[in-house]
Amino acid sequence: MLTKNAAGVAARKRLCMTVNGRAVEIEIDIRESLLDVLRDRLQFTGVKQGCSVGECGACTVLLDGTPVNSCIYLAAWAHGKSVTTIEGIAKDGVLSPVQEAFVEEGAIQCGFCTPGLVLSTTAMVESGHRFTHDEVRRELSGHLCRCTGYQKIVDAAERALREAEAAADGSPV
Amino acid sequence: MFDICELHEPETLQEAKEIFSHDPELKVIAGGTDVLIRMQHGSLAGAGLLSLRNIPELQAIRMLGDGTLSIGAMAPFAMLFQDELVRKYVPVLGEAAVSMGGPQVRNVATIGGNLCNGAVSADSASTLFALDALLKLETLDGERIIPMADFYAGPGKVNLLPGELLVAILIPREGYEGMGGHYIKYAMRKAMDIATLGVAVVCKVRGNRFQELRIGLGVAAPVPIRCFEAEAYARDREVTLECVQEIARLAVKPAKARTSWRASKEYREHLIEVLAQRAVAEAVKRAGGCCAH
Amino acid sequence: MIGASPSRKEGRAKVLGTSTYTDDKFLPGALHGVTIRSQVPRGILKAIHFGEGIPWADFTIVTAADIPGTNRVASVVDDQPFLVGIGDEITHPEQPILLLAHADRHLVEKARGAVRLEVEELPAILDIQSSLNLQQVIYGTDNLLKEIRISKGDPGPVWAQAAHVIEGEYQTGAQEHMYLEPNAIIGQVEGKGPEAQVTVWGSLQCPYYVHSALKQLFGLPDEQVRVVAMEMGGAFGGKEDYPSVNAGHAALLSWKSGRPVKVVYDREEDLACTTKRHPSRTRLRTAFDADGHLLALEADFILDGGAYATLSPVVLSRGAVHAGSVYRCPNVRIHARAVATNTPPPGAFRGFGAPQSLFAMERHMEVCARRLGLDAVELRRRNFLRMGDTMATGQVIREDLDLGGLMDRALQESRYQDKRAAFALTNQEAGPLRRGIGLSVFMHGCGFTGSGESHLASVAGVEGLADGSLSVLAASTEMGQGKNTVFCQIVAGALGLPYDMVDVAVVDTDRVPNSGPTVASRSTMMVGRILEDAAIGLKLSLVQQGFLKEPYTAETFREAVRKAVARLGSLKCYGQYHRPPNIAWDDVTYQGDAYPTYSWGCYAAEVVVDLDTYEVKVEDFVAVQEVGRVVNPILAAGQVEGGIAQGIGWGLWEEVTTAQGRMINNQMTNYIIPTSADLPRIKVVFLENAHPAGPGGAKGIGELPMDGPAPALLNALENALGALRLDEVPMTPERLLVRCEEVSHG
Repeated sequence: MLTKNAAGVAARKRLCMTVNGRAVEIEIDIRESLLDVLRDRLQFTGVKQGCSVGECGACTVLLDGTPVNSCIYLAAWAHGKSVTTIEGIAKDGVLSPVQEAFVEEGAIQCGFCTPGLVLSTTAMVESGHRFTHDEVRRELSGHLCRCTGYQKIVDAAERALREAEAAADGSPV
Repeated sequence: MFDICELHEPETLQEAKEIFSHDPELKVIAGGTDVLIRMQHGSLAGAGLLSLRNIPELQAIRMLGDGTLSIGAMAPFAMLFQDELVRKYVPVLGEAAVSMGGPQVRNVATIGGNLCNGAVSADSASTLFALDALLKLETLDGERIIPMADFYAGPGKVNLLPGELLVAILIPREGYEGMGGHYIKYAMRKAMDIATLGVAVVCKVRGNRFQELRIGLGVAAPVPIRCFEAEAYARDREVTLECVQEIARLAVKPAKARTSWRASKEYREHLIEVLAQRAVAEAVKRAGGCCAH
Repeated sequence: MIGASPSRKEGRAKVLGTSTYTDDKFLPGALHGVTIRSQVPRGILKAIHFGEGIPWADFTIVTAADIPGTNRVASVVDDQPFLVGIGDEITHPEQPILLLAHADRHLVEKARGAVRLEVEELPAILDIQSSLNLQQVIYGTDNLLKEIRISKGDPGPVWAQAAHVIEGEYQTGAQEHMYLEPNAIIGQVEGKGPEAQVTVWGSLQCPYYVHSALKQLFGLPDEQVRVVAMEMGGAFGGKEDYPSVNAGHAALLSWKSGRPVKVVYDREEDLACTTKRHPSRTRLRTAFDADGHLLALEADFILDGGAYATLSPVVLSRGAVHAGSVYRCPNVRIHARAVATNTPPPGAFRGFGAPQSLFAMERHMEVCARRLGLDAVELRRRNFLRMGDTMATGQVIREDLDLGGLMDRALQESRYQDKRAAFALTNQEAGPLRRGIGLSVFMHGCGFTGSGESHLASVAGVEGLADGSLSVLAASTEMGQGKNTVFCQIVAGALGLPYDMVDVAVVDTDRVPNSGPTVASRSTMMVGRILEDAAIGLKLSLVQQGFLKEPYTAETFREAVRKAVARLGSLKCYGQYHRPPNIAWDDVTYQGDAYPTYSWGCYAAEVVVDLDTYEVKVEDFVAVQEVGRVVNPILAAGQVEGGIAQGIGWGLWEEVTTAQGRMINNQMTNYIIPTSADLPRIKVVFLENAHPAGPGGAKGIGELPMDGPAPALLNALENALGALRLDEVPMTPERLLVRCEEVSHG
C-alpha cells in the first residue's frame, strides 16, 4: 500500500484504530507521529511530549498492550491496532489498582512522567509475569523521572504487581 | 511531524522487493527508532519511506534444517530477548538485545534496523560478529549471503545494493554450537544509553584449552570489528589467567579508538583490554572452562 | 493534620492524565513561536538576513527594535536584554536575537533555519580563570558580577602559630535541571498601546517575577499584566528566572501579531539555552590546633556567572554564607566572587550556591582529618556548631542543635563503623572491586538570604467560598514538591478542619497575592506561616462578626463560612511576613542572621568501585535530617529521595560538555541523569525538632538534600581507594582513572 505526497502536499491516509476501547477513524497526514495524532487531533493530552526522540518515555502508550514511545512511531503504523493512553486506564472515574498504587505510595510529584509510568506498570501487571526487584527497575528504566529518585515509583509498581498476583491466586495481599 | 514525502507499507516481502527495485532511492524503515530520530534532527529531509512493519514473515525466528538459526530482520529486540531459541542457542545475543535502549525502544526497534543503520555502537552487531553470523540479503532478482565483516563499509555505511533488503540474520551451527558467550556493554548508565564500548565474546573450551575464541568489538573502530590476532593466539592454548590477559592485550591491537566527548582514546583502549579480559573469562566459564591461575 | 500524609491534592488528576500543563492548553487561532539565537559566544550583530523559499510576509517577526518598553529582563540587576538589537553586542552563544511566529508549527521550524545572522565576532572568555585574568573585559571594568566578603575574628596571626595549616582547591561542574517538561509559555496580548492587556500562561515557578518582567518590557501598570501558572512538569530552580525571558518573547509575538502565541522549547533548545547550576571553584585554607580544633578558615569562592548577572548575586550570597558550613570557627574570611564569561547565564538550581561551597568544605574536612591523623567523624564532632556558637556572619545558634546526635543516627543507620572495618579487610582481596562508605554533614538556610524576606514582605491569604469550603490564596506554585497539599494541611491544621475542606486557588496574579517566589526552601516555612496566620485571622473575623462560635465542628464552620459569604459577598483574610524580632541582618557588612533558621543533615553513601573500568555504583544511601516538624512525611521523603538522586547525578555522572561556550551534549541520551536502574534504595530518616518560626514547627526541606550526596560519595570513594585527588564533581570514571594513575605514578 502506498501513500504518496505530491509536490509538498501532505499525503493523507485513512487511519482506523481503537483508542481506549473506542474505534477511531480519522484521516491523518503520513508525516505525523502517533504522538501528534493523539495529542493534537484527538486531544489525548495525557500523552506527554518530553523529548520527541524516544529518550524520556513521557509519551509512552500501549500498542496492543505493549509500551512504545509514541513520538517515534508513525501514526500510520497504528492502523488496525489498539492504542491505550493514560485516559483509558481508569474505568468510569474509578482509578485502576496501578493508579491507586501511584497515588497511595507518593509516586507522583510533577506528574509529567506519571502517565507513561502508569502505562508501563499496567503492561507489567497485565502480562501476568512475575518480576524480581531488579526486573521491575529494568522494566521502568525507559522512563526518566527527575523528581522522585524512582524509589516510590518502584514501590508503587511492586505494590500493584503484588496485588495483582494476590488477586490471581485468590489470596490476601 | 516528520519530513516524509511518501510511505510504502507492503504486506509481503515480494511486494517490498518490487517497490524497492522500482525506486531504490526509498529509505527503508524498520522499527523507526533510528530513522525517525534522525528525521527529527533534520536528516533525511523529504525522504520516501519503505516500511517493512506490515510483513509478518520478516519477524520469524526459526531453526533451519541444517542447524542454522535464522532470525528475521524485523524481529524486535524485546522478542530476541524472550525467544526460546535465542535463549537456548545464543543467549549472548539475548544479553546484547536487552542492553539496548529502554523497554519501549526494545519493543519496537529491530535487529535488522540496528544492523542496517550502520552505527558502530549497535549492540547486536559486535555479538553477531562474534557469532560469525551471515546476512541474507535479497533483491527482486536474487539473494546473496554475506558475512558480517563484508556488510560494514564505514561509519554509518553498509554494503547494500540498490533495491536490496536485509531479510534475515543466519547463525550457522558452527557459530554457536558448544560455545559459551558473554556480552558486556559499557555505557554511562544502566539503561537508555549508547554504548561507549561493546565487547562480545564466544568461545569453545575442551580440556580447558581454547578450541575456538571469537571477539567482536563495538565502538572500538569506525565499524564493528573482530579481534583476529587475539583469537588466533588463543587457539589450542590452555585457559590460564595469563593467557586471558594476553588475549585481552591483543584485543586492543585492531582497535582504532577515537577521542570523543564521551571518552578519550586512552580510556577506550583501557576499557577494551579490561572488558575483553572480563568477557573472555566469563565466556570461558559459560563454556565449561576455568581460568584460575 | 501536621505530620499526616493525606494524598496529594492534584494526584488524582495527574494519574488520570487530566492535568493541564502549558502545552495542553489550546487557544483558538494560536501561533507557534520560535527564537532565533546567536551561534557565536561574542560579537556585534551587524545584520539579519531572511533566506529564500519562506513566505516571510505570512510570519510575525519581532526584533529588539519592536520592543515597546524596556529591553531589559527585570531581575536582581536589569542587565540582560530580551533580544539583541542590530549594532549591539552578542555576549553568549544561544542568545535570543529574533522571534518568529506562524500558525504552522512545522513551517516556523523550517523558517528558523532560513534566518542568517551577520555577526562581527569578538574574542570570548569561556572559563573562570580567563575571566579573573581579565583576558577580555566583558562586564563592567573587572568582569565581576558580584563580590562578597564575610569576616569574623582575624585569621591573620593564626596561620603562623597553628599546629596544622591545610589548603585545598575544589571544583564543581554545571548541572542541568532536566525537568521532564521543557519550558513552555503562552502569551496573549489584547488591545494596543497603553490599553494593552498582557496575559501569559506558563510553566513557571515565580508568577510575580514574570509579572514584573512583563510590566517593564511593555511599560504597563500592574493591572494590565496577568500571569497564570499552569500545571508544571518539574522545575528545580530551572523555571525561577528563565520564564521571565520566554514569557517576554511569547508576549512580544502576541503583541505584534494580535493572536495568542505558544512558545514551547524542544528538548535540545531547552538544554542548550536555559539556565544551569553555576560551575564553581573554591580554595580553602584551614588552621587547626594540635587537638584538631578549627582555628581559622579562609575561603575563596568563585562562581562562573555567565554573560549576565541574572540571579548570580544571590546564588553567590547563599554559597558564601554556607561556605563556613556546620563548624565552629573563631576566625573566618570568606571572599566570594561571581565572574562573567561569554556563556549562557546559569541560574537557580536546587541548593542555589550552597551545594558548591558545602562540597568543598565537606571534602576538605576529610582531607584535613587524614592530614591530622584523626578519624573524619571525630574531627567533625570536635568542631560542630552548638547552641550559643556564632557562625561566620556572627549569627548566634539559638536552637538546641545536636549535630553529634544527628551524625550518630546516620552512623548507626548506615552501619558506618562496621562497614569501614569490613571494607578494610575485603579491600585487601584480589579482584577489581573496592568498597567504601563516606558521610557528609551540612545545613541549608531556610528562606531568602539576609534581608530578602523583609524586602519581599510576602502576602498570602485564605478565602471562604460560597459552598463553605476554604481556598488558599498564594502565588506559590506547585512543581511537584507538594505545595498544594502542604498548604491545605497547614490551613486545615490551624483551624482543626478536615483536609478535604481546603483547596488551593489557581495561581493567577489577578486572583492571588504575591506570596513571593517558589524558591529557597521557603514555601512551607515562610508562606506556610503566613497562611497559618491568615487562617486564624479568618476564623477570628468569623467569630467577631457573629458567624461562628467556638468550639466549632467542621459542619458548623462550613455553615458559618457559607453564611458569611452569602451576607458579605466575599470572605478573605490575608497575612503578611513580619521579621521575627530577634533577627537582624546588615546587607553591607554581611553580618547578622543570614537565615531565620537552618535545616541540618548527615548523609552516608556506600559505593563500590570497579578498578577495571573505574565505574562507581552507589550501593546504599542513608539520609538523616532535621527539618523541624515534618508536615507531610510521604511528600517530605519524596523531596529527600529526589534531591539525593539529583545529588548523586551531580556527583558522579552529570556533565555539561561545551564547545565555544555552547552545550554540545544537549540531548537526554547524552546528558546522563540516573534511570531507575542506576540508583540504590535510599533510607530517609527525619529527626523532628519543632521550630517556633515555622507553621506547626516546620522548617525548609526542598534544597537540603541536594547539599549532601556529592561530598558523601567522594568521601566514600576516598574510603574505598585511599588518598586521591578527589577534588571535583562529577567524578566520572575517566576522571577517577586519571586520579588513580596520579597515585600509582607518584
